[in-house]
Amino acid sequence: MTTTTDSRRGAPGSTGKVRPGAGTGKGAGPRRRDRLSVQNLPGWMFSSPFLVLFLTFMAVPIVATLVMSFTDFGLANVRDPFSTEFTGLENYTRLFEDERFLTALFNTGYFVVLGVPLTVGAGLVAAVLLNSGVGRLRTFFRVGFYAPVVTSIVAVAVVWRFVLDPADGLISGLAAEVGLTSPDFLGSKALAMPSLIVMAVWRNMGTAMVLFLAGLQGIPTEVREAARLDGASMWQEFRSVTVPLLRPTMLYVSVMTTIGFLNVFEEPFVMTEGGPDNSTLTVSLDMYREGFDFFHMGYASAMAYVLFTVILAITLLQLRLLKDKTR
Amino acid sequence: MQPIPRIAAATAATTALALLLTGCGSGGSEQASAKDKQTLTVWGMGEEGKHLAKLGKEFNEKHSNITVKVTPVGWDVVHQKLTSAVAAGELPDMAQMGSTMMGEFIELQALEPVDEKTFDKGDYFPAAWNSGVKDGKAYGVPWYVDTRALYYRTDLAEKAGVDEPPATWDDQRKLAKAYKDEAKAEWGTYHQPANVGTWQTWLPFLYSAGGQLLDKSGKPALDSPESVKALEEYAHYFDKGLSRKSSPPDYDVVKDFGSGDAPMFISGPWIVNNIKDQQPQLKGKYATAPLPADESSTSWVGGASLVTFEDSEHKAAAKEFQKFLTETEQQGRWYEMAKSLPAKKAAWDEPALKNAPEQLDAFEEQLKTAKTVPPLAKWEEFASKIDEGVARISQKGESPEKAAAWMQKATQGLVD
Amino acid sequence: MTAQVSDTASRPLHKGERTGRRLRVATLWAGVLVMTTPFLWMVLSSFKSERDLGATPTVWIPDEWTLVHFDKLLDLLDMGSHFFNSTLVAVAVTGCNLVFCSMLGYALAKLNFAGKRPVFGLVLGALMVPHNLMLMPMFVMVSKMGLIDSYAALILPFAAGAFGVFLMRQFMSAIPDELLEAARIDGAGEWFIFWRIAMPLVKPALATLAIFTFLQSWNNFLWPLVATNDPDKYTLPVALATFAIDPTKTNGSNGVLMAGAFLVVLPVLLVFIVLQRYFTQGIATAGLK
Repeated sequence: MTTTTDSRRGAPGSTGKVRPGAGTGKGAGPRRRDRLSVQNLPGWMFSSPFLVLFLTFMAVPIVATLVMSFTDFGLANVRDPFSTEFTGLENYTRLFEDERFLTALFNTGYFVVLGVPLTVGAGLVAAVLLNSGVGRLRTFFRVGFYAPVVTSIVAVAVVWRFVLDPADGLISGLAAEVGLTSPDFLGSKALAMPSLIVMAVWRNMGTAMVLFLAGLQGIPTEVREAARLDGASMWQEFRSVTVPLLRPTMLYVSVMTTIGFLNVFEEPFVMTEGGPDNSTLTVSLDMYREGFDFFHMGYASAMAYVLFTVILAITLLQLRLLKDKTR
Repeated sequence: MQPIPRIAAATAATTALALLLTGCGSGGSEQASAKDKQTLTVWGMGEEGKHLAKLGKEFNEKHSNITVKVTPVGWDVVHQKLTSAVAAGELPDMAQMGSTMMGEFIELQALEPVDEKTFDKGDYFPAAWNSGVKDGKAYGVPWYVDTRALYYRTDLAEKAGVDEPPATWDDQRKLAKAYKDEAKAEWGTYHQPANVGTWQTWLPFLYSAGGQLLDKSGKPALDSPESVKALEEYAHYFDKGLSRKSSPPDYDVVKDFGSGDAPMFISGPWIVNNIKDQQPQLKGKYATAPLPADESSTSWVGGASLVTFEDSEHKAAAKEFQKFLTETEQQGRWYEMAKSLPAKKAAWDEPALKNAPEQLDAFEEQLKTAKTVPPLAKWEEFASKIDEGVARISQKGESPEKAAAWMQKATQGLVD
Repeated sequence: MTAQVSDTASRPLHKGERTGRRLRVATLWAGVLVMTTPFLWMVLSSFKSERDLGATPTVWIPDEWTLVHFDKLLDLLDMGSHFFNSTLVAVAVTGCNLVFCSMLGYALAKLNFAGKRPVFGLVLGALMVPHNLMLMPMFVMVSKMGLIDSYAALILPFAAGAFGVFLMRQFMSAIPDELLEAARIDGAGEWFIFWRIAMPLVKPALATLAIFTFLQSWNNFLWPLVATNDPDKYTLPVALATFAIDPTKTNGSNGVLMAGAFLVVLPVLLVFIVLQRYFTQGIATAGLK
């Protein structure tokens, strides 16, 4: 009996909340495993490739970034890493007096605060619409909304740069057709960042949509039927049935989108070089310039850690906020 | 410790040390001679990189054992790529290196000194040769020199009622305004407003105002009255809507010059070629002129040298290729191909230069009085601060005084 | 999903519902139009002549279709070798992930070993760490190993992703224990069980993982930008990006840029349209926690 439960875990069952694997080792496991002895050797053998790569390319660099952030690591130290000097908290204190960095931090925040809710919201709306019975076109729509996700951000940024071109671009062409002139989106301090945000929403909402679709399918039909029999309008149904039941998905989507958006780099790199007047300079772009144009690697490492701290804080906050309401 | 293990340990240590030394050192023992069959890897930059590949092929026809592989790298990324390659120790054999980058790479000890018996200092313009000299040693063979002058549309100027090149800053302002108001051009001129390389357009203003990058004691002089004046002049064009306040990362002024949207700009001699290739209809409709003067009409000397990297194993072949590229006759041809001005004095007597299109005259003229950019180990960073300082007046709308003070503060730690 | 579709379809729709449905379909049409327009614009522009590109009013459909931008692009960029670099790296990264992530996923789901919990903790933690954090020391390490400009530098750091482990662990857990126990009793080795019994059972998950890893690698940008200096080693996105910010190469020609973007986007988009079912199903299962 226990094993059948186990095997069902992978497939979305009728409970709505499927948590495959979370309980492995409980159920059937303990008694039999006790009998069969512990599989230490194979366990570690199977873990070792991941662990070796993880240690080399993640654990060591994470620690190294932290160490480097307290040093004046520069170009000469790439050849001779151990001659670098510790400078204590200097990089961090300098960071918070660095106008450029503070601007970058603000811009990144702006991008996330506006971009994430819009992406999640657009994805959710698309998913709900798609899930409300649109017949055969469903697949077609799904493909259409998801297509930007699979394309390279660099290519997409190149395309959008031209789409937004004030002279020969798509938008300006459309505007001209109806007798308007379009602004120079990427050349304007006020509009450059919103333009990048719109592009990011366009590119990423597909992911959110597909995840929400999966979540929606986990909502049992009976619940909906019941709501409808009670005379709930579509909006009411959405608010009081769909949204609450989608909270776990929403949590996942928001966290993942936030992490991705906080690292925004390609868009300003290709479209604006951080301008005009640093209005699209993001932390990752600033870090890249400090770290790889001027090889202020210690300083860039401090930037990386500030960003990482922000990511951790926001993730934890989101987990907290959204999880509390789930139960 | 027992004697034998001690010996073993000593041997091991020595071997390790030896391996380390051969690994990190110049690898002198592995030098290929100029006669060996080999591939010479060369990084070329921007416009010149495109043409260099052709010369590499010609060289290979004469020296069948040496294949030249030219990799063109964009100017925007070349500094980052070269420094990163130095750091990683993964360099090509030789490269074309912008004169302003020499200081940094000499400091990094990445360059092989020039064999001054083969390349004679006296053959080259002193400004070009000296950009690659440190402590009496030369590290680059000057390849070409360039400087900045003014390009303007004569047909549109006529339409706007102007028939003479602008001689002073005042004239330049008037022409820009006339282009916009009378000739109905989108902009009056193009002054690069921000991003990498903005300093190249602004520096002529600083020099013409009588300013300097560094004062006599070697400290930045970016908050001098002259610097403020140069910034003020530059800002005028943005304040009055005569020059665009931002441009896309791959903005090519030649395109807007051709369409008449930007009928005036400041740039180097290679643009003559670009106009011929991309905007052939402009023939006879544009001219060049020496920079409009304030205190004087003073531009800056740029250009590039040919450098061999210290880690290269093909130094002899690199020398052959450099000899080939700097032959007097070849310099004349190079000028024909890339419109790059020869760094070798004798080449100016070549027919190609004698019969140069008139647009080149302004550059020749300008070159006589042009000043150098001081060699700085942290030039790129220094330059990026100027870029940002100029962006402060063009895009942030900061006052020239404030921007000048900012530049001064930002560059203070970058000179030593 | 089928449940909902048939649900609405089986009941006769009354008038209000029908208008509602029309409205929803219309909204979706508008949405899809917005989503696909940039691609259409890209394709059309890449075939427009330079004159049409700069024309006012905008020429929407090219007067004459031309390949001149593609010619120029291929002249300026060695697209073939960038394509090769991208493909090689993506295939290698995908292969490694399939094997390594499945191995650990299997161990975490089906083996009982000391230290399992902390290992799983590491995997979860690694999910949260952005790759940008490690850029600087990774560059130093890879430089010291002499791997700058090598394929190894582009492959190894991404050879075993935490996401893959997480995904595989989920799917491996769904395999009935009896099956594995039976094999063990028959004396099969753990590797045999993993490779011959478990792996074939999680093929759909492997397909999902393969698709996503490949995509991620194909579109990866910052690390390849940092880890390659020699333009011959650039992957497609790096080549396109450095090209797109270099006026001496593009000469401000949007046609060439659109041709470049088109060639980068095209293969992925085609594969996506053919395999779209696996993509969207894949991400759905992957997202389920």
